[in-house]
Amino acid sequence: MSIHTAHLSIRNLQKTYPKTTAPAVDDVCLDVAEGELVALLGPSGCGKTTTLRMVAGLLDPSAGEIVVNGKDVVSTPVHKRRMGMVFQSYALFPHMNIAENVSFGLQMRRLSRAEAAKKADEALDMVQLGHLRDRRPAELSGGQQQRVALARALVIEPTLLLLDEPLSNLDAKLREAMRHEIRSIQQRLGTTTLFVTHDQDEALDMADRIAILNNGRIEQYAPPSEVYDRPATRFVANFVGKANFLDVENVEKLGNDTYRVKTNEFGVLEVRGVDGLDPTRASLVVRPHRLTTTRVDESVKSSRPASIGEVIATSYTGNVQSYEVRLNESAVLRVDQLTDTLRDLRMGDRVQLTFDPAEAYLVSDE
Amino acid sequence: MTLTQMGSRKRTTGFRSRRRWELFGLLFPGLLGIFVGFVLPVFVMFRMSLNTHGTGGQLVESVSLGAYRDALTDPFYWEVIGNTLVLGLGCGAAATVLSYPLALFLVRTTSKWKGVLIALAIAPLLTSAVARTYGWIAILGDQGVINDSLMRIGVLDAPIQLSNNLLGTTIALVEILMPYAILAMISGFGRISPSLEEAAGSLGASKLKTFVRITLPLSLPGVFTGFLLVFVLAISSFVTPRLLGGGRVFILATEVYNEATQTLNWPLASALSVILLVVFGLMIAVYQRLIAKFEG
Amino acid sequence: MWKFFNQVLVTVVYLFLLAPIIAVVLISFNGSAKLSIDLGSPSLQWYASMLMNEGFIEGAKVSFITASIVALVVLCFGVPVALAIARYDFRGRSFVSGLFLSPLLVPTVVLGLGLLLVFQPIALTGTYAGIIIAHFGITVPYVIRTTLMSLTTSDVSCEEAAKVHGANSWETFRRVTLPIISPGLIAGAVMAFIISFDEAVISLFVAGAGRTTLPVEMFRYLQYRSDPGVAALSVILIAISVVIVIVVERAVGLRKVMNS
Repeated sequence: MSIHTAHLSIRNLQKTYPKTTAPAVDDVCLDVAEGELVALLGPSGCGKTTTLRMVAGLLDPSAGEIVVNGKDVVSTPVHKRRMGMVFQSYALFPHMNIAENVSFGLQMRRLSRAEAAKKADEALDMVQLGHLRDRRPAELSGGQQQRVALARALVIEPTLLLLDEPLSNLDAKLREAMRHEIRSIQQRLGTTTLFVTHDQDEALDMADRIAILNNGRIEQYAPPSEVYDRPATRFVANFVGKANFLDVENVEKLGNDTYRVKTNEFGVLEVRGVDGLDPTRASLVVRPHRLTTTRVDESVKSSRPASIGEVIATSYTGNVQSYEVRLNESAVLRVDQLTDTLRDLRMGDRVQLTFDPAEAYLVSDE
Repeated sequence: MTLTQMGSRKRTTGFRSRRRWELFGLLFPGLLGIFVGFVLPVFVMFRMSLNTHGTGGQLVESVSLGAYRDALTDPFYWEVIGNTLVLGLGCGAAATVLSYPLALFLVRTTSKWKGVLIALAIAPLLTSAVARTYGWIAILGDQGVINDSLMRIGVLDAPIQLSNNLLGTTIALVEILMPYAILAMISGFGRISPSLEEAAGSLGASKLKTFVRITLPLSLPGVFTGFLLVFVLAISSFVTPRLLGGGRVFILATEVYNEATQTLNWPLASALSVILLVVFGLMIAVYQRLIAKFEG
Repeated sequence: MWKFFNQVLVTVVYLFLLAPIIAVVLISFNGSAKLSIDLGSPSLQWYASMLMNEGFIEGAKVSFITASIVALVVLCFGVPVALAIARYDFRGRSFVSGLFLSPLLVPTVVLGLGLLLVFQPIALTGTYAGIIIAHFGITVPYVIRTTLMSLTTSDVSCEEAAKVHGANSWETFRRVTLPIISPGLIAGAVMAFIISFDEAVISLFVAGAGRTTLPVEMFRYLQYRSDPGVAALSVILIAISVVIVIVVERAVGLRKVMNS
């Protein structure tokens, strides 16, 4: 995506808090296209919320630019940035009723009372809460408050919608329903959205693209499937989805993104990998569900790389059965397979593990 | 945001200086008020203590320690300082001893009246010191409740002296200041968990032993805070010593008032004020040492 | 045994604490001028005489006016300071918050003397302005403390939400912060009012011969005579305090704010 068509463009953004030395956000660059939903994903303290707050104008960057519609907004005060934001605590005004909450931004924009009320009602209908317009926030459930917060942020037709961990205070069932509701409203309105979360499922499910942050830096910025199948770094592979790492040696570059590597467990393999990685600092990622198991006694000859090990742990989570298989002293791999009583394995069973090298991926160890 | 950061980035100074002006606007009226109503008077009082009181009663601008010399060479003022300390320590000790069981009771009680009981213990705070001093005059005076009833039932022939002296002043001040000690102790006792005492009990410690070895040491910081509060409030009290002392109780606070409004010896009044502040400061320093010892 | 002893002890301490208030209430109905409890023929004569005492009426008027203005002034000056301390990060912040609490660490006699020394040369003694300025220092810490309490326990993101959605600093304060912290403001203002209304020592220094407040009038009266009149007056004042506290407690929960 070229910078010229980007709706939001964050350039070399940096934030160092007073009395600290390490920057909380370090040289972050990010382009978001019109109508796109981008998730900022990372563990707590990775700088994702700090980035979002700088975009909102609630924090001053130490350096860098935040360009919205071609204009640097860093020196624009927060209340003039025309953004909509949903907070983790929802931050509904406790002393106003729902309709007043939603029309707050419109009143600040000096809309007439009647017009503000009309738009607020439309926004409340959009989140299916029109019937609660006269209630106070404290009388609403968490999910309802969350939808009011969304309506309040969207009613002003913001240039950017900012969501700060909006689902983390909801219970698991509701969280999933809200994901889809937020996503469908966002797509219907075509609002460019920046979404902060620490929940990888949320990011994979909702985002057009995911920026994974670690220690204030972006480790990878790509669509969900790419982040999952072709993680740029060991950190990304580990943070998004489950991952097994195999040590590799004799890394040899074959093409732009193809390599020949030698592993202790599965021999020499031809795999794809991150372009331009340091051959001495690389690991091979194999997702647990890409591994297949067969009992040693019934094993069939396979053309795929194979290795034999012992089941040392099993766990059952309904639709998925997981095993830990020890191949040697240093390699214990996790295997996920859909529950299948025919292939039920027990502790101590000796099994053969195989996988398709095309589904493994070589990542940088950074 | 710090000033150094502001200087390092020119691009956003407009935004930042706006916040700086807001901050200035927020703080200015309050700072002006606290300056005129507090900082300036205290400063002027310090300066006044270095002036001298001329023989004709006129004020002589100077920088001398004459007023302090006058105060500290006169045995009368040593007695005043002594009285002040006796009053402070006496009130502190009595209020601590009396508040301790009450505070412990209020922390422990599971009664549904707990709220009311706490309110009742600190309610006296909401009635003016003048009114409560008056109440004590009515109780302790020569024709007051105590003397009147004791004489009526024939225990006494002549009234015993309970007012117009340090004893009566101390009794009244203990009552007037106790709510502070109770409040301090209640908040200090919060961290003593009953399960510790139960544990000690289950290990075979007697009630008395549990109290001496567990409850008392844990409650000491709250006790110190209560004592300090009562001490400093007692030595700076004026209304009660003046009214209940009937002009015969001389402590630093009453002498400051006398010198300032009767004798009109402002340098001496100021010097006595500074001495009072020094006693104050010493006591707070001792308290901080003690607390540091017990919490460190 | 231990428990019984403890209960007796607690009861005795309570009696001691409430003794002067009980005495004052009983004496106020005395039938004679004796300053002891004398309820042989209870009467309301002392209430009547108090309500006709011009000095006290005038003092009450002055006290009421000054306490009201002090509460208002302290709110207007103190709340912005609390806002700055809670919401702005600036150098010297802990100094500022210490400075505004320090008047409570100075004996009122000392502060009263200082104020007298400042006011005398510029003829501020015995004026409304003088009394109000004098009461500023001892009341502002309470307003700042209760306001800070409300500010630190309220959700900052409400204010952030207001700003993001288009409110400038003033609108944010007016429409969001102020309504949310108003219980703390009311509690602080009530405490400021009560403290100013009851304050005797500082007023004694600065009241001079002009305006005198009710506590000063009572003090001066008591210096020369003691009759049950002041008891009646005290009962009236206690009743007013109790009513104010109950009303505020019902409205905003004073206990919550005072517990800090």
